Amino acid sequence: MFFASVGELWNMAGHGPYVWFSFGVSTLVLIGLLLEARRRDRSARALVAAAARRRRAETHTS
Amino acid sequence: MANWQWFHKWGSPRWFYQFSGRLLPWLAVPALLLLIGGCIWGLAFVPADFKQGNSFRIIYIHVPAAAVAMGGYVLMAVAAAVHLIWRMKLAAIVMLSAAPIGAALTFLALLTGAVWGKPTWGTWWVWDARITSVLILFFLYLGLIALYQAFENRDAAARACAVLAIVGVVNIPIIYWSVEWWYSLHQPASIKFIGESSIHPSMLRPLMATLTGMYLFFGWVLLLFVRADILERERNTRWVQELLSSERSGE
Repeated sequence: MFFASVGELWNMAGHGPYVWFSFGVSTLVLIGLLLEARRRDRSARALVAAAARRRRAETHTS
Repeated sequence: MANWQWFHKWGSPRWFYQFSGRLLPWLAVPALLLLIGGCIWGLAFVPADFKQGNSFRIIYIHVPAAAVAMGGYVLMAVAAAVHLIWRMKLAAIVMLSAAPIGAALTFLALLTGAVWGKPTWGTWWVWDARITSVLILFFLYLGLIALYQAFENRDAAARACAVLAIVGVVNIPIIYWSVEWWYSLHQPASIKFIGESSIHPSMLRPLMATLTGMYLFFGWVLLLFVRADILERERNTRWVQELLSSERSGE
Protein backbone atom coordinates (compact mmCIF):
# COMPACT_ATOMS: atom_id res chain seq x y z
CA MET A 1 0.00 0.00 0.00
CA PHE A 2 1.13 3.56 -0.71
CA PHE A 3 -0.12 4.85 2.66
CA ALA A 4 1.56 3.97 5.96
CA SER A 5 -1.73 3.30 7.79
CA VAL A 6 -5.49 3.01 7.28
CA GLY A 7 -5.82 6.41 8.98
CA GLU A 8 -3.56 7.99 6.35
CA LEU A 9 -5.50 6.23 3.58
CA TRP A 10 -8.71 7.71 4.99
CA ASN A 11 -7.24 11.20 5.43
CA MET A 12 -5.18 11.28 2.18
CA ALA A 13 -3.21 14.30 3.44
CA GLY A 14 -6.37 16.41 3.56
CA HIS A 15 -7.85 15.24 0.24
CA GLY A 16 -9.75 12.34 1.84
CA PRO A 17 -13.20 14.02 1.94
CA TYR A 18 -13.02 14.92 -1.79
CA VAL A 19 -11.79 11.49 -2.90
CA TRP A 20 -14.03 9.36 -0.68
CA PHE A 21 -17.11 11.47 -1.43
CA SER A 22 -16.50 11.01 -5.19
CA PHE A 23 -16.13 7.24 -4.90
CA GLY A 24 -19.04 6.96 -2.45
CA VAL A 25 -21.51 8.81 -4.69
CA SER A 26 -20.27 6.88 -7.74
CA THR A 27 -20.88 3.57 -5.96
CA LEU A 28 -24.42 4.68 -5.05
CA VAL A 29 -25.20 5.80 -8.63
CA LEU A 30 -23.92 2.53 -10.16
CA ILE A 31 -25.87 0.44 -7.63
CA GLY A 32 -28.89 2.66 -8.38
CA LEU A 33 -28.62 1.78 -12.10
CA LEU A 34 -28.63 -1.93 -11.26
CA LEU A 35 -31.66 -1.49 -8.97
CA GLU A 36 -33.45 0.42 -11.74
CA ALA A 37 -32.69 -2.46 -14.13
CA ARG A 38 -34.24 -4.89 -11.62
CA ARG A 39 -37.30 -2.63 -11.21
CA ARG A 40 -37.80 -2.49 -14.99
CA ASP A 41 -37.46 -6.27 -15.30
CA ARG A 42 -40.00 -6.89 -12.52
CA SER A 43 -42.56 -4.43 -13.90
CA ALA A 44 -42.19 -5.95 -17.40
CA ARG A 45 -42.70 -9.46 -15.98
CA ALA A 46 -45.79 -8.27 -14.10
CA LEU A 47 -47.21 -6.96 -17.40
CA VAL A 48 -46.44 -10.28 -19.13
CA ALA A 49 -48.24 -12.14 -16.32
CA ALA A 50 -51.22 -9.76 -16.56
CA ALA A 51 -51.40 -10.38 -20.32
CA ALA A 52 -51.36 -14.14 -19.68
CA ARG A 53 -54.19 -13.84 -17.13
CA ARG A 54 -56.23 -11.75 -19.55
CA ARG A 55 -55.72 -14.30 -22.30
CA ARG A 56 -56.79 -17.16 -20.03
CA ALA A 57 -59.91 -15.23 -18.96
CA GLU A 58 -60.78 -14.60 -22.62
CA THR A 59 -60.44 -18.26 -23.57
CA HIS A 60 -62.64 -19.26 -20.63
CA THR A 61 -65.43 -16.86 -21.54
CA SER A 62 -65.41 -17.61 -25.27
CA MET B 1 -28.94 -10.80 -49.88
CA ALA B 2 -27.48 -13.51 -47.67
CA ASN B 3 -25.06 -10.96 -46.25
CA TRP B 4 -27.99 -9.10 -44.71
CA GLN B 5 -29.24 -12.06 -42.72
CA TRP B 6 -27.26 -11.03 -39.64
CA PHE B 7 -28.97 -7.66 -39.78
CA HIS B 8 -32.45 -9.17 -39.72
CA LYS B 9 -31.39 -11.57 -36.99
CA TRP B 10 -30.11 -8.70 -34.87
CA GLY B 11 -33.37 -6.87 -35.45
CA SER B 12 -35.40 -9.76 -34.04
CA PRO B 13 -36.28 -9.05 -30.38
CA ARG B 14 -36.61 -12.76 -29.65
CA TRP B 15 -33.17 -13.61 -31.00
CA PHE B 16 -31.65 -10.62 -29.22
CA TYR B 17 -33.26 -11.57 -25.91
CA GLN B 18 -31.82 -15.07 -26.04
CA PHE B 19 -28.40 -13.94 -27.27
CA SER B 20 -28.08 -11.15 -24.70
CA GLY B 21 -29.04 -13.56 -21.90
CA ARG B 22 -25.95 -15.63 -22.67
CA LEU B 23 -23.81 -12.49 -22.90
CA LEU B 24 -24.80 -11.04 -19.48
CA PRO B 25 -22.37 -12.95 -17.20
CA TRP B 26 -19.48 -12.17 -19.58
CA LEU B 27 -20.15 -8.47 -19.05
CA ALA B 28 -21.19 -8.46 -15.38
CA VAL B 29 -18.32 -10.44 -13.86
CA PRO B 30 -15.39 -8.65 -15.55
CA ALA B 31 -17.15 -5.28 -15.10
CA LEU B 32 -17.36 -5.72 -11.33
CA LEU B 33 -13.86 -7.21 -11.02
CA LEU B 34 -12.25 -4.42 -13.07
CA LEU B 35 -14.20 -1.60 -11.39
CA ILE B 36 -13.67 -2.81 -7.82
CA GLY B 37 -10.08 -3.98 -8.40
CA GLY B 38 -9.12 -0.85 -10.35
CA CYS B 39 -10.59 1.46 -7.70
CA ILE B 40 -8.79 -0.29 -4.81
CA TRP B 41 -5.57 -0.20 -6.86
CA GLY B 42 -5.96 3.48 -7.68
CA LEU B 43 -7.08 4.52 -4.19
CA ALA B 44 -4.56 2.68 -2.05
CA PHE B 45 -1.57 1.51 -4.10
CA VAL B 46 -0.74 4.13 -6.73
CA PRO B 47 1.66 6.88 -5.55
CA ALA B 48 0.25 10.40 -5.10
CA ASP B 49 0.60 12.89 -7.97
CA PHE B 50 3.56 15.23 -7.49
CA LYS B 51 1.45 18.31 -8.31
CA GLN B 52 -2.09 17.43 -7.25
CA GLY B 53 -1.36 15.11 -4.33
CA ASN B 54 -4.07 12.58 -3.53
CA SER B 55 -6.99 14.43 -5.13
CA PHE B 56 -5.84 13.06 -8.52
CA ARG B 57 -7.21 9.63 -7.45
CA ILE B 58 -10.66 10.92 -8.46
CA ILE B 59 -9.40 10.28 -12.03
CA TYR B 60 -10.16 6.57 -11.57
CA ILE B 61 -13.90 7.26 -11.50
CA HIS B 62 -14.13 10.67 -13.24
CA VAL B 63 -12.46 9.71 -16.54
CA PRO B 64 -14.31 6.37 -16.97
CA ALA B 65 -17.67 8.06 -16.20
CA ALA B 66 -16.97 10.90 -18.67
CA ALA B 67 -15.57 8.65 -21.42
CA VAL B 68 -18.44 6.17 -21.24
CA ALA B 69 -20.99 9.01 -21.05
CA MET B 70 -19.60 10.23 -24.42
CA GLY B 71 -19.21 6.73 -25.89
CA GLY B 72 -22.75 5.93 -24.78
CA TYR B 73 -24.03 9.00 -26.59
CA VAL B 74 -22.34 7.92 -29.83
CA LEU B 75 -23.87 4.46 -29.45
CA MET B 76 -27.26 6.06 -28.83
CA ALA B 77 -26.90 8.22 -31.97
CA VAL B 78 -25.87 5.21 -34.09
CA ALA B 79 -28.90 3.28 -32.80
CA ALA B 80 -31.04 6.34 -33.61
CA ALA B 81 -29.74 6.42 -37.20
CA VAL B 82 -30.36 2.68 -37.63
CA HIS B 83 -33.90 3.16 -36.33
CA LEU B 84 -34.60 6.08 -38.67
CA ILE B 85 -33.07 4.50 -41.78
CA TRP B 86 -34.21 0.88 -41.47
CA ARG B 87 -37.18 1.33 -39.08
CA MET B 88 -35.62 -1.25 -36.76
CA LYS B 89 -37.62 -1.32 -33.50
CA LEU B 90 -34.79 -2.92 -31.54
CA ALA B 91 -32.56 0.04 -32.41
CA ALA B 92 -35.14 2.39 -30.90
CA ILE B 93 -35.18 0.27 -27.73
CA VAL B 94 -31.37 0.46 -27.52
CA MET B 95 -31.47 4.24 -28.05
CA LEU B 96 -34.11 4.78 -25.35
CA SER B 97 -32.39 2.41 -22.90
CA ALA B 98 -29.01 4.13 -23.31
CA ALA B 99 -30.35 7.59 -22.36
CA PRO B 100 -30.90 7.14 -18.59
CA ILE B 101 -27.59 5.28 -18.19
CA GLY B 102 -25.75 7.99 -20.10
CA ALA B 103 -27.47 10.68 -18.03
CA ALA B 104 -26.41 8.98 -14.78
CA LEU B 105 -22.78 8.71 -15.95
CA THR B 106 -22.71 12.33 -17.18
CA PHE B 107 -24.04 13.40 -13.78
CA LEU B 108 -21.19 11.45 -12.15
CA ALA B 109 -18.61 13.01 -14.47
CA LEU B 110 -19.86 16.51 -13.63
CA LEU B 111 -20.10 15.86 -9.88
CA THR B 112 -16.71 14.14 -9.50
CA GLY B 113 -15.20 16.84 -11.74
CA ALA B 114 -16.53 19.56 -9.46
CA VAL B 115 -15.24 17.76 -6.36
CA TRP B 116 -11.85 17.30 -8.04
CA GLY B 117 -11.81 20.95 -9.12
CA LYS B 118 -12.14 22.36 -5.60
CA PRO B 119 -8.77 21.18 -4.17
CA THR B 120 -7.03 21.41 -7.58
CA TRP B 121 -8.26 24.66 -9.17
CA GLY B 122 -9.74 26.23 -6.02
CA THR B 123 -13.26 26.27 -7.46
CA TRP B 124 -16.14 23.79 -7.85
CA TRP B 125 -17.26 25.12 -11.21
CA VAL B 126 -16.11 27.28 -14.13
CA TRP B 127 -18.12 28.05 -17.24
CA ASP B 128 -15.39 26.95 -19.60
CA ALA B 129 -15.78 25.00 -22.84
CA ARG B 130 -15.15 21.49 -21.48
CA ILE B 131 -17.44 21.69 -18.47
CA THR B 132 -20.19 23.58 -20.28
CA SER B 133 -20.21 21.15 -23.22
CA VAL B 134 -20.48 18.20 -20.80
CA LEU B 135 -23.37 19.99 -19.07
CA ILE B 136 -25.01 20.25 -22.52
CA LEU B 137 -24.45 16.49 -22.93
CA PHE B 138 -26.33 15.98 -19.64
CA PHE B 139 -29.22 18.15 -20.88
CA LEU B 140 -29.28 16.26 -24.22
CA TYR B 141 -29.72 12.98 -22.36
CA LEU B 142 -32.42 14.44 -20.10
CA GLY B 143 -34.07 16.16 -23.08
CA LEU B 144 -34.30 12.86 -24.95
CA ILE B 145 -35.97 11.17 -21.95
CA ALA B 146 -38.42 14.08 -21.54
CA LEU B 147 -39.16 14.17 -25.29
CA TYR B 148 -40.04 10.48 -25.32
CA GLN B 149 -42.45 10.93 -22.42
CA ALA B 150 -44.10 13.95 -24.07
CA PHE B 151 -45.60 11.85 -26.90
CA GLU B 152 -48.66 9.61 -26.65
CA ASN B 153 -47.63 7.59 -29.69
CA ARG B 154 -44.53 5.44 -29.06
CA ASP B 155 -43.41 5.31 -32.70
CA ALA B 156 -43.66 9.06 -33.21
CA ALA B 157 -41.84 9.60 -29.90
CA ALA B 158 -39.00 7.27 -30.91
CA ARG B 159 -38.58 9.04 -34.27
CA ALA B 160 -38.46 12.48 -32.62
CA CYS B 161 -35.92 11.20 -30.07
CA ALA B 162 -33.82 9.70 -32.87
CA VAL B 163 -33.61 13.07 -34.63
CA LEU B 164 -32.59 14.78 -31.35
CA ALA B 165 -29.96 12.09 -30.66
CA ILE B 166 -28.42 12.49 -34.13
CA VAL B 167 -28.39 16.31 -34.03
CA GLY B 168 -26.85 16.25 -30.54
CA VAL B 169 -23.92 14.09 -31.62
CA VAL B 170 -22.22 17.27 -32.89
CA ASN B 171 -21.54 18.01 -29.21
CA ILE B 172 -19.24 14.96 -28.84
CA PRO B 173 -16.25 16.26 -30.87
CA ILE B 174 -16.79 19.66 -29.22
CA ILE B 175 -16.38 18.03 -25.78
CA TYR B 176 -13.37 16.01 -26.90
CA TRP B 177 -11.39 18.87 -28.47
CA SER B 178 -12.73 21.67 -26.22
CA VAL B 179 -9.56 21.60 -24.11
CA GLU B 180 -7.45 22.17 -27.23
CA TRP B 181 -9.67 24.70 -29.02
CA TRP B 182 -10.36 27.04 -26.10
CA TYR B 183 -8.50 28.23 -23.07
CA SER B 184 -9.56 25.97 -20.21
CA LEU B 185 -8.67 25.11 -16.63
CA HIS B 186 -9.33 21.50 -17.55
CA GLN B 187 -6.19 19.53 -18.32
CA PRO B 188 -5.80 18.10 -21.84
CA ALA B 189 -6.23 14.37 -22.45
CA SER B 190 -3.66 12.24 -20.64
CA ILE B 191 -4.30 9.15 -22.76
CA LYS B 192 -3.53 9.69 -26.43
CA PHE B 193 -4.58 7.45 -29.29
CA ILE B 194 -1.51 8.59 -31.26
CA GLY B 195 1.78 9.21 -29.52
CA GLU B 196 2.90 8.72 -25.95
CA SER B 197 0.47 9.23 -23.07
CA SER B 198 1.40 11.95 -20.59
CA ILE B 199 0.52 9.80 -17.60
CA HIS B 200 2.95 7.48 -15.80
CA PRO B 201 2.33 3.75 -16.52
CA SER B 202 1.85 3.03 -12.79
CA MET B 203 -1.05 5.51 -12.78
CA LEU B 204 -2.32 4.49 -16.22
CA ARG B 205 -2.81 0.75 -15.57
CA PRO B 206 -5.55 1.07 -12.91
CA LEU B 207 -7.18 3.76 -15.08
CA MET B 208 -7.34 1.32 -18.01
CA ALA B 209 -8.90 -1.21 -15.61
CA THR B 210 -11.66 1.11 -14.38
CA LEU B 211 -12.19 2.50 -17.92
CA THR B 212 -12.66 -1.00 -19.38
CA GLY B 213 -14.78 -1.94 -16.35
CA MET B 214 -17.05 1.07 -16.89
CA TYR B 215 -17.56 0.24 -20.59
CA LEU B 216 -18.50 -3.32 -19.62
CA PHE B 217 -20.79 -2.02 -16.85
CA PHE B 218 -22.53 0.23 -19.38
CA GLY B 219 -23.00 -2.74 -21.72
CA TRP B 220 -24.32 -4.87 -18.87
CA VAL B 221 -26.91 -2.35 -17.63
CA LEU B 222 -27.85 -1.45 -21.23
CA LEU B 223 -28.64 -5.11 -21.98
CA LEU B 224 -30.70 -5.38 -18.77
CA PHE B 225 -32.73 -2.28 -19.72
CA VAL B 226 -33.19 -3.47 -23.32
CA ARG B 227 -34.29 -6.94 -22.18
CA ALA B 228 -36.91 -5.51 -19.81
CA ASP B 229 -38.23 -3.27 -22.61
CA ILE B 230 -38.38 -6.23 -25.03
CA LEU B 231 -40.41 -8.27 -22.51
CA GLU B 232 -42.82 -5.38 -22.02
CA ARG B 233 -43.34 -4.66 -25.72
CA GLU B 234 -43.61 -8.33 -26.71
CA ARG B 235 -45.74 -9.36 -23.73
CA ASN B 236 -48.59 -10.56 -25.95
CA THR B 237 -46.40 -12.71 -28.21
CA ARG B 238 -46.26 -16.43 -27.85
CA TRP B 239 -42.52 -16.65 -27.30
CA VAL B 240 -42.58 -14.28 -24.28
CA GLN B 241 -45.59 -16.07 -22.78
CA GLU B 242 -43.91 -19.45 -23.24
CA LEU B 243 -40.56 -18.19 -21.96
CA LEU B 244 -42.01 -16.85 -18.71
CA SER B 245 -44.33 -19.79 -18.08
CA SER B 246 -41.39 -22.18 -18.58
CA GLU B 247 -39.28 -20.04 -16.20
CA ARG B 248 -42.06 -20.13 -13.58
CA SER B 249 -42.51 -23.90 -13.84
CA GLY B 250 -38.73 -24.33 -13.65
CA GLU B 251 -38.50 -22.54 -10.31
